Amino acid sequence: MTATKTPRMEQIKRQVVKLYPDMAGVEPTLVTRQKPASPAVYKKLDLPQPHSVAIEQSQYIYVFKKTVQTADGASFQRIVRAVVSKEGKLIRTTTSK
Amino acid sequence: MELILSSKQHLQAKYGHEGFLALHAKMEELQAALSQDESLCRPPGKTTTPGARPEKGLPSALIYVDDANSLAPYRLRPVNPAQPQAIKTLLDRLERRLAAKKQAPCYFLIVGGDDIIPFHRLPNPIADATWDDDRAVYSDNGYASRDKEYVVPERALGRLPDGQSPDPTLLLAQLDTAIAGHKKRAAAALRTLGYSARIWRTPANKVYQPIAGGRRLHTSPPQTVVSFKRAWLDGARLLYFNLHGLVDKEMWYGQEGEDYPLAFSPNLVDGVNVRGTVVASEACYGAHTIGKDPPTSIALRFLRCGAACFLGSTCRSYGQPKEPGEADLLVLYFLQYVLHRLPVGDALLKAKIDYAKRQIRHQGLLDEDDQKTLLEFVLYGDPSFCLPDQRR
Repeated sequence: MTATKTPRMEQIKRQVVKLYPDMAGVEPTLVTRQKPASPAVYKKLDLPQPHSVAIEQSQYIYVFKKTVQTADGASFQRIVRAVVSKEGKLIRTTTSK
Repeated sequence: MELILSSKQHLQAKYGHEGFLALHAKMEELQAALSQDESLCRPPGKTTTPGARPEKGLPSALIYVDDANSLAPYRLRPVNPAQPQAIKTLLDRLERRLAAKKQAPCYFLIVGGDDIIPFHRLPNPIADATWDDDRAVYSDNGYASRDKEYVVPERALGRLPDGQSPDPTLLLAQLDTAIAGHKKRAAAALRTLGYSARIWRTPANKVYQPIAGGRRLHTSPPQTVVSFKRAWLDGARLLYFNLHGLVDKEMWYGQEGEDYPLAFSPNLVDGVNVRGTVVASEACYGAHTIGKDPPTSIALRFLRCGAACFLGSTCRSYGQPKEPGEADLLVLYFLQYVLHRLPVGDALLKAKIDYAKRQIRHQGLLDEDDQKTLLEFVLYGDPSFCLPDQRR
C-alpha cells in the first residue's frame, strides 16, 4: 500500500529525511502491523500485560526502503521504519544495520 | 552444572569417526576444565536460572541427543537430531530430570553449527516482506526457553558453531578456547575497541563509552579496511562493532550519506592476539554462519583465532539514529554485564530480559522489531566464560 500524499505525510517525510538525509526522494509504504507479543511474554517478565492492541491501533508504520551500493559493488536494501501516531506525529524511527 | 549438547550422528557424518573421536575427547577435556575452574564469578543479584553455580568447579554432563547410551542414565530416548523441536523437548525433560537430582544445569553449550544441532527457524515477527524479507529467524531462543514462548529466554546458552568444511579444526579450536577460559588466568589490562559506521556514531558512542575506558570510538568513514590498524585489535579484550552487514558478503561496511566503504574484513583478524576476547557486533547477519567458513565469516574468523565469544545477529538487525535502540540497547546491556564479570551466557540472558522490560516501559509494548531483536541475537562461545580480573 503506497502512502497518500497528504500534507501530514509530507511532514513525516521531511522529519524522516532530516534524520536520514539519504532517504530523500524515497516514497514510504504503509505496512501491516503484526500481532503484539503474546500475554505469555509479559507473564515471563513479571509485568502486567499492557494495552498493546490499543497502542497498536493508534499507530501506523511507514517504511522507507532504498537499494544502495557498497564501495565494492554489493547492493543491499536500506530500510527506515517510522512509527507514526494517528494524529500524524512521528513517534520513533528505526533503521536496518 | 553445564550441559554440553551435540549430535553424535551428525558429528560422525560430517567429520568421520576419527574426527568425532577427537571432538569427543576435547569435550571431555572441557568437562575436566569446568570441574577444576576455581574462579568465583557469581552473578550479582537474582538470576532466572534454576541452578546455582558452586563456588569452586562446575560439574557438567555431555549429552548426544541422538545416542541411546548417552541418554540412558536419564531414562530418556534419543531424538532425531535434525528436528530442533524434538531436541528442545528432550532438553526440557533432561533439565527436569537433573533438577530432580538437584543438578539443574545453569549453562547450556551446544557443540556444532546448524548442520549438527539446527537453529530453530522461527517465524519472523516482521512478517510483512515489503518491510523485512527475512523469511525466518535463525534462533537459539527455542533451546534457551522452557516453554513455547521463545521471545524471552530463560536459560544461559551458547553455541560453538562450525563451518561447512568437513575439517574439525574450527570446532576443536573453539573447544580449546573454552578449556583455556576455565583455567587460571592472570589479571590483565582491559583494552577495548569500538568501531562504528560514522552515521551511527552518536548511539554507538553511548554504547561504547561505558566500556571504553577512555578510548575513542573509531568510525568508518574515515576508516576503511585499508586504514584500519590491526594494532587496535591486538590484545583488546572487549570489541564492539556497529557496522553494516550483508547476508552473502564476508565484509562489514561503514556509512556516511551515500558512501558505504569497506570497513572490516575477516583478514584483519589474522596475526593479532584476540585470545579470550569478547566480541559484540550489531551488524545485520553478523552471526549468520550457515554455509560459511572462517574466510567468509568475520564471526567464525574471530572464533577460529581464539575469541572467547561472539554475540551477533543471524538476520537483519535494527537500531536508531540518535539514541541507542534495538540492537544498540541489547549489545549495551550485554557488554555492561560482561564488564562486571558476569559469565557471557548470563550476560546475554539478562541483557535480553532487560531489553524486553525497557522497551515495554518506554513504548508500552514489545513491537515487531523488538521481538525480532530478541530472537535473532545468538551467543557463540562457552556460556560460562567470564572475563578475568581486569586492570584498567
